[in-house]
Amino acid sequence: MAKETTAIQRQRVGFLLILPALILVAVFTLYPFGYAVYTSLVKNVIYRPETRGEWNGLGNYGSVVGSDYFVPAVTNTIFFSMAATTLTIVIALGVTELLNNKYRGAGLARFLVFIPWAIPPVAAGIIWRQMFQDSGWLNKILGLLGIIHEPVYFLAQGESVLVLLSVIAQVWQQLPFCVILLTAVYQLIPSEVLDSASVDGASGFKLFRRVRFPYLKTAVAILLVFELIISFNTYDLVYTFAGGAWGLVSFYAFAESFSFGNLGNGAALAVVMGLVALALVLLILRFLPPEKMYRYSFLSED
Amino acid sequence: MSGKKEEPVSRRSYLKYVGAGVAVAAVAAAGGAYYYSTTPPTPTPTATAATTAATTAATTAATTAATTAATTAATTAAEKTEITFTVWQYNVARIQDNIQKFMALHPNISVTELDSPWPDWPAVMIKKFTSNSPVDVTYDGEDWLAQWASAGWVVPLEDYWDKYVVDHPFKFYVDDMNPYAKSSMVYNGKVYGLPYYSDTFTFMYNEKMLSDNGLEVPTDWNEVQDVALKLKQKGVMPYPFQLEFQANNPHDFECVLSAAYGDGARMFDENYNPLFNDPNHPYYKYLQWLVDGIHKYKIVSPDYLQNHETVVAQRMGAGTGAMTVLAKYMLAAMNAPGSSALAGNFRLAMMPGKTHECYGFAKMYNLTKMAVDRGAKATQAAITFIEYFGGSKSPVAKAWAVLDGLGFGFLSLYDDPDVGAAINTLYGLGAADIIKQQSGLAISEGHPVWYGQWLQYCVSTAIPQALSKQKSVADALKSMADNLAKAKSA
Repeated sequence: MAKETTAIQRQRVGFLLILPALILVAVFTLYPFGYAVYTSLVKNVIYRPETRGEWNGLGNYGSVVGSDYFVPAVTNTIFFSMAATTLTIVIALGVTELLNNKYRGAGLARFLVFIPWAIPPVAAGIIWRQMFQDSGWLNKILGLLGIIHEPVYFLAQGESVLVLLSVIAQVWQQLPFCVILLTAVYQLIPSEVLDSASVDGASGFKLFRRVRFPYLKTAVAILLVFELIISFNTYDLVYTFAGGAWGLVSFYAFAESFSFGNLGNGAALAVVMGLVALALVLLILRFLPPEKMYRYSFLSED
Repeated sequence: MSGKKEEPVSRRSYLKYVGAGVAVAAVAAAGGAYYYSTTPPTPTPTATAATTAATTAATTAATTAATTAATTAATTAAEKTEITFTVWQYNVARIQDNIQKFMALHPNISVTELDSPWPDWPAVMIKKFTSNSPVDVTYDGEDWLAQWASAGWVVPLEDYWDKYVVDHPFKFYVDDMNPYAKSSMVYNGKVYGLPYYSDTFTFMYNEKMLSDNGLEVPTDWNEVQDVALKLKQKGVMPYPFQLEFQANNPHDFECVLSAAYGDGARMFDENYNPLFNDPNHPYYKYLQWLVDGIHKYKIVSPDYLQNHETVVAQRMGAGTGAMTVLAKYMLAAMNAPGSSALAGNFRLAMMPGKTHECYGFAKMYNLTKMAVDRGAKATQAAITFIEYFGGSKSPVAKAWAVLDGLGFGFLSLYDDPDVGAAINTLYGLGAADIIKQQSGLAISEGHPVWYGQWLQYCVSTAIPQALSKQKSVADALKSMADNLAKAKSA
C-alpha cells in the first residue's frame, strides 16, 4: 500500500516536471492548431469582411478539394514525397556503407557529404536552380562531354518536371541527416558479429543485407517516416528551386491564404497537412514506442 | 536494470508523456505556422459600419484639422505624430532619404519606414493587416487594391483629402492623372491613392541590330514575325523574340495582355464576362502567335518558362534577343551605361498592332483605415506625407522619374524639362515623345477582387499549357474562361 502511494506521488512529480513543457506546447502549438481548425470551419475571406466568422462547416474543405489546383497539388506532393524519401534513404544507405569503410580520404569524404546539411533549404533551392539553368554547370558539363550541342532547358519543362528535378535538390539537402543517423547506428553493430559473418564467408551486398541491415532497419523505418513528413511539408526549397512557381500542397495552402485572400481555405489545407503529419508521427511511434526509443538510443538493447 | 523500481518516476510513464508531447507538438506545428501568419483580427466592422465609422472620424477630423495645423508649428519634439509607412524593397536608400527630407520639412511628424521584399509583399501586408500591426501609409498596387479596399484596410483618399490641410485639393491631382493610372487606383468608383509610379508594358527592340540588317521597326505582329525570321535566317541569333514568362508572376500575364492590347483586345465585357476565348479575339491570336513562334517558327526562346524580366534584359544585352515586351522601366536598365556591351542600342516602339494600345498600371500610396481610426492628427500627418510623396508637385515623384527612370502617373510631368531630358538620357533619344504617346494609349480594365486568383490560374496553368502545347490555345482559353466563372462565383 505504501509502495503504491509512493509510486503515485512519484508519478505526480513526473507530471509536474513535464508540465512547463506541456504548457508551452499548449500555448504555442495546441492553441494555434485549434485556431486553424476553427478558421477552417468558418468563412474568412479577406475581401468579404461582412461574412467573416460565419459558420461554414466543411465548406472550405469542399472548396479546396473542388478547385482546379487540388488534384495536381496532391499528386505532385505525393510524388515528390515518395520519390524524395525513397531516394534519400537508398542513397544514404549506400553512402553510409562507403563512409564507414576504411580508406584514404574517408574523413574528407565525410566532411563533403555533410556540407549540404549546413546550407539553408532556401539557398539549396537556388543553388540547384542555377545548376539546371541553360547556362548552368550541368549544361556546361554535358556540353564539354559532347553529350549535348545546345543547352537543355531543364527549367522550362513544366510543373511536373520541375517537381521531379526538385526531388534531386531535396535528396541532396536531406542526405547528410540520414547518413549521420545511419552512421550512429552502424557504429553500434558489434564487431564480433561482423567478424563472424566474414569468417562465414559473407561479404559485399550479402553482408549488408544479412548482417548490417537487420541492425539498421529500425533506424531506416524512422527515417522513412521522418523524411516523409519533411518532404510532405517542404515549401522553401521547392519554392526557390521552382523560381516561385507552385505545385505542391504547401504552395497551394499559401496561395489560398495570401494570393487568393481566402484564409478559411488556407486553414483547411493547413489542417489537412497537420493531420497527415499526425498520422505519420503516430506511425513513427508504432515503429518505435518511446520506451523502446530510449533503450535503443541509450542502452543499445535492441 | 534492476534499479528500475527505485527510479522516482517510471521511465515508461515518463516516456509516454514525452511521446505524447512530441506527437502533439509535431501535428500542431503546421497549425502554429498558420496561426502566426493569420492571427485573428479584432472584430472587423461590417462594410456599412466601417463606412459610418470612417465618415464619423473624417467629420471629427475636419473640425479639428484647422486647429491641428495651427498648432503644428509650435509642436515640440515630444508631441510628434508618429506614422508608419510600409514599402517594398526598391531603392530603400532613396525612400529613406526622401523620408528624412520630409521630416526636416515637417518636424512635428515622425515616420517609421518598414520594408519587405517585393515577392513577399502581398503576404507580408495581409499578415500586418490581419494582426493589426501599425500601418498608416502603404504602397499598394492595382493587383491588390480591390481586396484591401473590400477588406476595409485602406480607404478612398478622395473621401478624406479635402477635409484636411493640404497644398492642393484632391481634384487638382485627379485631373492631372494619366487615365490608365487613375483607373488603376479606382475601386468602386472612388480614387484610393496618389501614384508612387505608373508605367506601361511596352515593345522594345535593338535598334542597331535591326538597322545593321536592313530591317524596319515592325508595326504589327506579322511584321515582328517577319523581322524575327529574317534575323534567324541571317544567323544573327536563334531566338530573336524574348518572352518574359515564369509561370508565377503577374508580369507574365501582363506581358501577354499588353501585346494583345496592341490589336485592340478587351478581355471582358462590362460585366466581366470573358471575351478572350473567341478565335477572332486579339488575345487568342497573340497566344497562338506565341505558340507558333516557339514551336513552328522557332523565333521565341524555348525556355519561356524561366524568363524573369532581368533574364530577358540580360539576353537582350548579350545580343541573344532583338525584340521583346517588358515593363517600360526595363529599357532604362538595358540602356544603363556599363550594363552590357550593347547598352544604348535599345529603343521603344509603339506596341505592334492595329490600335497600338498597351497595358498600363499604377502603384500607389494608400491611406489606411488604421490611420483614420487613430484620429485627426494621425490622418493629417498621413495625408501630408502622401501629398509630399505622391503629389504631382512633389519632389519625390519627379526624383523617381529623373533619377531612376520610373514612369509617373501625372500628365504634367511630361512637360517638365528635367523629366523630358532624363527620359531621353535613360531611355534613348526621342523616347520622351514615344512614351507620352504610348501612355496615352495605355489600358487598365480594372482588377476586381477575384482578379488575382484568376490571374494566378492563367499564369501558372492555362498559359503554360498552351505555350508547351499540352493544350491547344482554344482549350487553354476555354479553361481560363471556366476558371473566371468559378473565381467570380467563389
